Amino acid sequence: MDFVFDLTIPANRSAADPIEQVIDVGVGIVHLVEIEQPPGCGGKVYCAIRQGLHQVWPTNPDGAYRSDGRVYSTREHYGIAPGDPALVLQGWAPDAAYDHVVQFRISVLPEEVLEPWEAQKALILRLLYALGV
Amino acid sequence: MGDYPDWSRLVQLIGSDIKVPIDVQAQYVTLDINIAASAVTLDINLAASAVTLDIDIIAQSVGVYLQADWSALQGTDKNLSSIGNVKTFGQAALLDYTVPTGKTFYTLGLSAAIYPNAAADYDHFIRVGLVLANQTDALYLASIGGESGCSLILNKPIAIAADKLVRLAGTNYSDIEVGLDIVLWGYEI
Repeated sequence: MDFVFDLTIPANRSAADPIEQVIDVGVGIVHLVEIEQPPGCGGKVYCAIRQGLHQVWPTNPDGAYRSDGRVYSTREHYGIAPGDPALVLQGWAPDAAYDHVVQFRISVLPEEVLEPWEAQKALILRLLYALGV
Repeated sequence: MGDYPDWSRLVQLIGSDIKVPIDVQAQYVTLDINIAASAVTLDINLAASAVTLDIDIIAQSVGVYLQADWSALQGTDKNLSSIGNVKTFGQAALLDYTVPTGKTFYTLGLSAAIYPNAAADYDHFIRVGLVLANQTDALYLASIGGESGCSLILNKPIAIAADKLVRLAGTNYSDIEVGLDIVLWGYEI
């Protein structure tokens, strides 16, 4: 499942008051995250993704993605379980003169697709235990 | 061996203007030629149906240049530019050049740089389109576009004949006022 979200980041939006968008990507394993900043952002547009109060991408809480005409793309393996806080897209651009639309792309697959061995693990462990291994 | 003696003779020619017609009809010939003059014109016409030319250049003072490089050394290269044009959306910066009579212009590449004309537009997209044309014959020769600029290095020169008007046009496709630089280069012989 590929989810695509556009976040319009207003000009002069401060880091202390970022624009935010709560997104729903369901339950499963996030295996790909892409953030596309179109030409013109000029390194003045900052983006991050958090879950609850915890910033997930980028990992360091004082960091943010910014570029110009580039796609940040990373393979991931981040689980989202039922009841987990939603993901929140964030953006700010304190020095920008124009609004910018940044596209976030998040790909999610069910756990049994990405980790098929997990379903059999408990059974195998039981079998090994029964065999005295 | 034949019924004639082997012989060799050392010949030194020290004239200022000497012509030596040589007609070698042997099947196999080894010519060991050492030309040490400062200026030599060698007019070689190989009319054989199959010729193997084995050239081994080891002297440091010998260079073999492609025509484009050689033109730069000879000063027959051409670097044409139109810099600092201020254009709004849809407007084009034009660079016109008429190839002189008796010459051919060989284009090697073209490029454009586009930038906001005001600091406040720094974070606006800036797009340019660049077209090279033989204006005289209404022929489009090359085109390219890009964000913030573009360049096209040709893998073979485009030849433009004498007396033709060459036009390089760079068009602003961003909806702000921009500065636009366009450059065309090649050689002319």
